[in-house]
Amino acid sequence: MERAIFVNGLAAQFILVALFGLAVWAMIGRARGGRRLPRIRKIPGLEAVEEAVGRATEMGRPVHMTYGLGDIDDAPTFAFWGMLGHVAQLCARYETRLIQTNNNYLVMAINEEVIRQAYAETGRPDRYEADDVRFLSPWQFGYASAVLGLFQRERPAANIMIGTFMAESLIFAEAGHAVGAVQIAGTANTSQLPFFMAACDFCLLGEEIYAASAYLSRDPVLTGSVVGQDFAKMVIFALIIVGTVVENLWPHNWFWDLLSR
Amino acid sequence: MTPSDALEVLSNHLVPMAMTRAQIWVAAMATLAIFSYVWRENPVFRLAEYVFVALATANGVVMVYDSYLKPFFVLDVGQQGRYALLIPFAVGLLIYARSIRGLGWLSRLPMSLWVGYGAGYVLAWSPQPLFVQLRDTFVRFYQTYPDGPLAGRFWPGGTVNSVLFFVGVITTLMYFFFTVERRGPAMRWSSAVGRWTIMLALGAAFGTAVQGRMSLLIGRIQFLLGTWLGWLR
Repeated sequence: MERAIFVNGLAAQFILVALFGLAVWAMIGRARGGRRLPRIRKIPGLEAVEEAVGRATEMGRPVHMTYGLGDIDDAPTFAFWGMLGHVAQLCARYETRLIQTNNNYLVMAINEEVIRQAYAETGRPDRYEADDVRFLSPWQFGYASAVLGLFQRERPAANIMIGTFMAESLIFAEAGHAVGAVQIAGTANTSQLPFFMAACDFCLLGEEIYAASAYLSRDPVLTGSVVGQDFAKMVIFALIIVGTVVENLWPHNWFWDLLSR
Repeated sequence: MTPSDALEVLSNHLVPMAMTRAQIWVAAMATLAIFSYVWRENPVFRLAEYVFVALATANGVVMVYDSYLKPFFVLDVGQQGRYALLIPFAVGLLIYARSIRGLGWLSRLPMSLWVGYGAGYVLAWSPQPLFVQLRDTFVRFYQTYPDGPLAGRFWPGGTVNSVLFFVGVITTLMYFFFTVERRGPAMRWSSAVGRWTIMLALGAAFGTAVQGRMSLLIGRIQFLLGTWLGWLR
């Protein structure tokens, strides 16, 4: 019977992942303890979120938010929830409608909870409208065509798209542009980022979506997590430098093999 | 024939040829109805939108029944007697507790299980391909021609590629440091180069994607003008 704990050859990866996890845990602990942490640098685009909601308030039009085609276990969906909570709080405070569309019923259930909670935290639970969290279609283009129609009928003044997007990304961005919405978009899908950059007012690049909720909320735990992730990136940065030097001196050495499984 | 060629042949030739005249008319009308959005939102587009959404929903219901529920009850539980599977099924059903006043909190149980499973799965399986990517960034700067009459001799183009790749990776990574202030010239310049690298990569991706979209549009126009109207031979 196989009793090994580690998959043969993957111990190095386990150690690195454990180290990164430890860094995140340590930084969260530090933040919880009230100790000083490095500040998250300014992320262009996030500053515009409050302006976009404010604009929608002035115009008396709703804010639309979507996570694209993300599933409940996709990392960008987790980033979306962070942003959703913040935007829902702003909408509750400014008494602006927030329309949130879905193509995944499990994610929708969590979105309802996040929005309801945000309205309650702002002291306006009565403003929460269950009908504004809408399930449109489980099909990619069924969902896209429904969003197109919704944009024309509801004419949102702000469109915030954070999550997993595929071919519908440009359809959404074009529809938002057509109704004059301020658009803030972000995804980790590099094939769709160019569309957002071309058609939206503000764009979050890749990993910026994960730092977004920490940046917006200034929550110490989320900030600690971002600081820990930065530590992991610095380790990877150092590994690339060392690995490249070693590779040029001794091609395909033990260091290469260590990461080859 | 590449996969994309095969897809094009399938979508532009084989499928339309297999369609009846009535089906071609329905497809053409649906295409025009969706295209009418370019003009403005109108009742024809709205009809197509509702039909599309309704079809998607109906398809989803049938798929869930046929691919999940039926095999689950008939095969797993009915024939194989795997009654333990009814436990996760019951936990899954708790999601409907959202609609019951006072019991809504029960719906958080399957959701928390699912989110926990998702986070654990990502943590367990995502790092592996990333480590292979990390290893592949260890480029050799001294490159030689891999084949041809100059095989084994110094290849300046390959060396330039390696240097560009290395600089691109390093500076892009520096762009994504969120807790390091871009104050010193090294940090400012490297993140600026990183941003340019990202823009160049996204520009190339944009060009490729636009070409793909144009190809799809051409396919639809070919369908309308050729298969439907018969103006193309």
